[in-house]
Amino acid sequence: MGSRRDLLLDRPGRSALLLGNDAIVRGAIEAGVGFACGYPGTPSTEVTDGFAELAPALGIPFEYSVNEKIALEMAFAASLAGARSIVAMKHLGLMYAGDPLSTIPYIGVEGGLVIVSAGDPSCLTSPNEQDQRHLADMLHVPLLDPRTPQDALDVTRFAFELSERSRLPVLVRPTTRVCHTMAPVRFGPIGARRQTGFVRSPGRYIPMPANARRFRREIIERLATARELIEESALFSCSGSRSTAVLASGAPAATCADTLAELGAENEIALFQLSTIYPLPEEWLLSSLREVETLLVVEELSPYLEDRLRALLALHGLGTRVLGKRTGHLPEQGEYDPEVIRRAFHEALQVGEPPALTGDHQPPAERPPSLCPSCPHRSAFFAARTVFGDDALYFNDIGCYTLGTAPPLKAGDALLCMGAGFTLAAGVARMTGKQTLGFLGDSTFFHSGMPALLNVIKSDVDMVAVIMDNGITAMTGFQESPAAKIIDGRSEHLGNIEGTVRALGAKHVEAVDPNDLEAACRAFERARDRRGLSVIITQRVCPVFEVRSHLRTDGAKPAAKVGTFEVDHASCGHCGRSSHGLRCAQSSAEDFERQIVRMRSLESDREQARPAVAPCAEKCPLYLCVQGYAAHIASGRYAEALELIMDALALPDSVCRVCDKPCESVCERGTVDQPIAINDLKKFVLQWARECDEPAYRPELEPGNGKSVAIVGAGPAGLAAAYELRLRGYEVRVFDANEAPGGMLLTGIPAYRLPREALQRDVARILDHGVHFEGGRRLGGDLQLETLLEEHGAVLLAMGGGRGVELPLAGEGPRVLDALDYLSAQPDSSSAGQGSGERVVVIGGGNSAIDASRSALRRGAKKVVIVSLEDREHMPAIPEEILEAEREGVVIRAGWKATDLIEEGVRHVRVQPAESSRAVAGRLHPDAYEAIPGTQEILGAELLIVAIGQRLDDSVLGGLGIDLECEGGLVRVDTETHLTSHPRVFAAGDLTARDRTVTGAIAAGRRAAWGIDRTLRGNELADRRPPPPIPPPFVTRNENKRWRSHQEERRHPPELDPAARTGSFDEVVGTFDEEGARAEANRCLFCGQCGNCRSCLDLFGCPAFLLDGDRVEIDPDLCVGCDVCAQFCPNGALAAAPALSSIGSLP
Amino acid sequence: MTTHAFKLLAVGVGGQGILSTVRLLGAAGMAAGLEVRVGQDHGLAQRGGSVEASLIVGPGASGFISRGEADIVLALEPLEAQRAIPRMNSETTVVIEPTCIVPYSLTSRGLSGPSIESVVVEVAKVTSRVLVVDASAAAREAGSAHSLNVAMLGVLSGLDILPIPAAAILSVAEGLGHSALGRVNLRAFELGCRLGSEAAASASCARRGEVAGR
Repeated sequence: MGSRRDLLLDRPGRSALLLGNDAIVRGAIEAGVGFACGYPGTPSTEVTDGFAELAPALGIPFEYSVNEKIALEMAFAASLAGARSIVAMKHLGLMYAGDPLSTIPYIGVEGGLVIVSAGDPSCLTSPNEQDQRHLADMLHVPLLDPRTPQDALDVTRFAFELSERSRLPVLVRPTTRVCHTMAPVRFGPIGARRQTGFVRSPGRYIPMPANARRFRREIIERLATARELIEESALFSCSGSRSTAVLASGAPAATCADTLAELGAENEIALFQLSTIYPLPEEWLLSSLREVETLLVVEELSPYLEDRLRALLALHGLGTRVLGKRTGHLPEQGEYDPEVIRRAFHEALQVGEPPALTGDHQPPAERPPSLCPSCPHRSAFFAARTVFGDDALYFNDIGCYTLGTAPPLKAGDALLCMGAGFTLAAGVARMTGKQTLGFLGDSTFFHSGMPALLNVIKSDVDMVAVIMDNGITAMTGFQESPAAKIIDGRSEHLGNIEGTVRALGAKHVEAVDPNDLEAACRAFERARDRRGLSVIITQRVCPVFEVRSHLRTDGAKPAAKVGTFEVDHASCGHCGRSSHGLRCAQSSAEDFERQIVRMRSLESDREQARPAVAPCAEKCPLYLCVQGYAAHIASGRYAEALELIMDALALPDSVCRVCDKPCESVCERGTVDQPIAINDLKKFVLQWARECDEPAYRPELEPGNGKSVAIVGAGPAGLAAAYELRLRGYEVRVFDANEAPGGMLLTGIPAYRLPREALQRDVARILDHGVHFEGGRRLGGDLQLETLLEEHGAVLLAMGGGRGVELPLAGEGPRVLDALDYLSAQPDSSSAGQGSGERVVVIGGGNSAIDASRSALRRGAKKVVIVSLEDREHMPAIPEEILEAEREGVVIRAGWKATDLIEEGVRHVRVQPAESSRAVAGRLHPDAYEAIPGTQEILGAELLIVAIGQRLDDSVLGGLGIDLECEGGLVRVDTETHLTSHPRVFAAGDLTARDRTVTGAIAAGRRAAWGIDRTLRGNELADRRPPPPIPPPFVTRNENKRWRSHQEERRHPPELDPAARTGSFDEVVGTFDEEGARAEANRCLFCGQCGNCRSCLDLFGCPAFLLDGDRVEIDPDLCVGCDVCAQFCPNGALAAAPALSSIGSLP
Repeated sequence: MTTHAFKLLAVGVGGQGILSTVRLLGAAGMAAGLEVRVGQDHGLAQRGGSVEASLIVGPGASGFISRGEADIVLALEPLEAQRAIPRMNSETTVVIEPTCIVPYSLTSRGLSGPSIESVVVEVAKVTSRVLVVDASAAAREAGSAHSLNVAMLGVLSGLDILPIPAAAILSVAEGLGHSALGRVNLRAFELGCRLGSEAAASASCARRGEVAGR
């Protein structure tokens, strides 16, 4: 097969297998065409492509015009200049050219003007299947409808003659079937080119109203001429005159002929074939149809011919029965394949058999087209979706990027026509106030997007206009556009859109490489955060075109592939917690993934290693997936956030208020600005859950297993264990010396930090699952361990330490109270010895000291001073609590030591760590401080509260009736199971030497429950989920700067005005509102891995990704190594296959 | 006179070279002085969608193959063979390359395509003339997996079931052999041809629907 050029310019008489569109090109060449232009659009594209290739050899001008309107105007101008001209487009384009088209017949053409406008029945490559034939009589334009490729040649050649002699433009309207069928075509002689030049003729070409009225009358004559020429032409035929006939036009005429031949009916049924639609050869029809009794009219789309034939026959009194669409024998939509025609023949004319129905056939999975691997449009949509999420509205346009409307990119809420992407976005933005984005490509921008953008600029619409400049009209097979010039197959990407857009008056214009995800996302972020119109131009040459053209703009030969990426399965599908067996049961969700992808694309430095487990989780005694619930909150998925919290945390309402927040101390965000307000986020979710009508969280409750456990102590450890065991199907009885459950949460933490209702919600949630609670039962009193062991499978001791450490101070003076006793006293008993109206000194630097001092203020103390051994930085209390105490008026003397009591108060002295202790990190033993001589001072006080820690009360262990092994005065337990030295007695909480915080106690309770379950049911039947792992003693934060985030201040929930606080025990710290919570959650860097992420499949959708079982894989045959996926993978699991060299970025 | 043109339907996936295969057959038919027509459905096809093209040999004008009309279905991909089942009849010969290109709509959900065996079972419900030929192996052996279409053309030629003389096909195929890629194509054609003639040699094999060349 030689080149198209050699073929189409070959000698007359030759027969060649020719595409219908190529036959049109040859027809025009034979007619001596002198100018060709058009706009690409399937199924007409090969016509323009043919001229693009042949024009130099023919020595005629050719252009891909900016749009169809301009193309038609150019062709008309060429005609005015006396040349035969041809212009090609698809049916939709002709509508765009409607304005000039409707006036050209008035003015009239000089050189023959042929408009090829391909139709597309069945919408094979179009958004509609309009029947353009109606334009013909509406606009007085002769319209020819070729049936076959040979006919296409003949019709086109004739069309020039028809046009020139009638002075009307002529439409040639092949349908897809003719355009894209190859058939033998016999070539005719190539006619000489003539060009008369433009002849000035005053008024002749000016359709001013007075002229136009005269021109309109001329059209009548022109049409008459056309009619005569048609009657004399070879554009119709009849295979014989019979009583029954079929009249068919266009592609179906060929199918009718074949079908009649196949049925052997070509002698009994006449076939009229028409290649002209307007004007009709009426004289011929009337004379030929005179003997026909029954006529089946076969034409695709509307009953155009059918209606006109009916009218013609009626007008002339012919009684022919006309069958077709109006009689229900043929459909008004879609292409007519042989089956449609066979059925019509059978039903209307009773010839042949009805088409046999094949058996039930289950069609296989669809194979929709998708954007190619490495397509820059995908990256652009991905970046936009990452930044704008699901709230914004996306308007798409006509081009390859139309494929971006499909999942997973889903960047298409509406689509209309060329250039409407911007207009739809603008109109919807103006009417709804929603954020909208309009997308269109470079060729489309110049085609009709430019006036659309100008309209947006003029009205100053608040929207984002995205121009996806890939340097070529890719969809239709790589035609040049005003954004790119093709010379000898080499494309020069002009990059001229930015200047154009600025010149149109757009103020915020950015050009980015969409495959640089960070840059693209940042550009979209700026566009999002700005009022008014933002224009983003995503610039990257279509890589497929680069490869096809074998040329790159820098002259280098591009490779189809720059490498292959692969999935690191050690990272993909695993979160750091899952390496401890703590994988959550949540499935991935797009908005969640979008959140984590955004952080990975934007915030992290890819060169820096990342932790597998986020440090916040690793430092949390419960190993809570903080980044998980932060990402859920940021994406508005509160139920999922709640689930992550409550699956691991039995007392969330309490913990979200009193946790000492070890997580925040190691938060990676702290290396950028301040840590995330993790606990406040938790509190927000709990508040949200409370406002839900339905319970937002329902844990799974296993059926009863017939075993029972007794728990002594209803503090955080005991309650957490009770809850866990109850969920596992155990009968659980909890005993406490207090009448009410809660333990230290109730008696040791003041209500302004933990309102009693919040604690009550936690307790109720646990008891409501069927945990039995008995208050006022003290072990060693009316409760005997021995009895409990007889009645239950296991006993968990969780009754806490019980006593404060005493401070032996010499001398006599103020009353001395233990902080625990002070805090546990009912706040309303403020009158008797609670410090009202007195000066109070609190000794200690921990949370109890702060709680006692702030409580004292609320109980009416005149002055409260804290005396802490540790200096301010090393005080063990929660830093915010210290700050709040000060704001409320508590005076803190950090680095002081009380020495003795005197009548007016207490004497104290400045201290410093002893020489030998200065290098020691962490908290120092009280003995490690030494007094600085000569610094003694007196603090006036009536009440002294001692808050220097707790110890296990001897009576607690004494009341057990059995001896348990101890260490350091505390019960020794197995670190894994919390089993004591007794085989059925477990212990957790302050009784043991483990984590002594509330959250630590809850973790211990959980772990003890796990240990009990293992012991009572055995490893096989017990809950398979592991307990929270024991956090490593020190998590050191990587202080290397590896984040690119902008500084963004931590948000704080509302709080009571310090001045108003001390009058009551009302809760001081409020709760984030939704906006605050989402914004704060949005600060999370999502620094750990996520095991549920499938962003590559769920959001990006490069066809190179596949799911093999539950593993994400990359098909090496499809991956071309563009590197975009590796830029966002939240687990950092995608990298170039090691065999290949590093991937350089394309220009 | 009842006429029946010969109708071959080639199906596959965008990028496999379906159109050029059928155009090449058309050119061979023309060279042999036959009346040929080539129909093609494309548009978005090069972006990984389904593609089909038809070759019609014999008198007539239209380029369609509608339900039950195909004399031969040449499937470069098994899922597409299954999609073409409605176009087959009990006399249709179906030649299938067994390598499945699983659509992204399936792979992204962890689903696999149908096995070649299950496709053969489905096709065999309509016609017993099913031949599975591992033409992609021949193409790889020739030097490029991209030459699958030419190898399949070779298989057809070797099977000798076309109304186009094998010599005409060969002479067109030889026209390919000028560049380096052309030489790979020619070799793929020859290897495919051998597979086809081996299958034809045991002619009954095709009738029984057995799997050949694997």
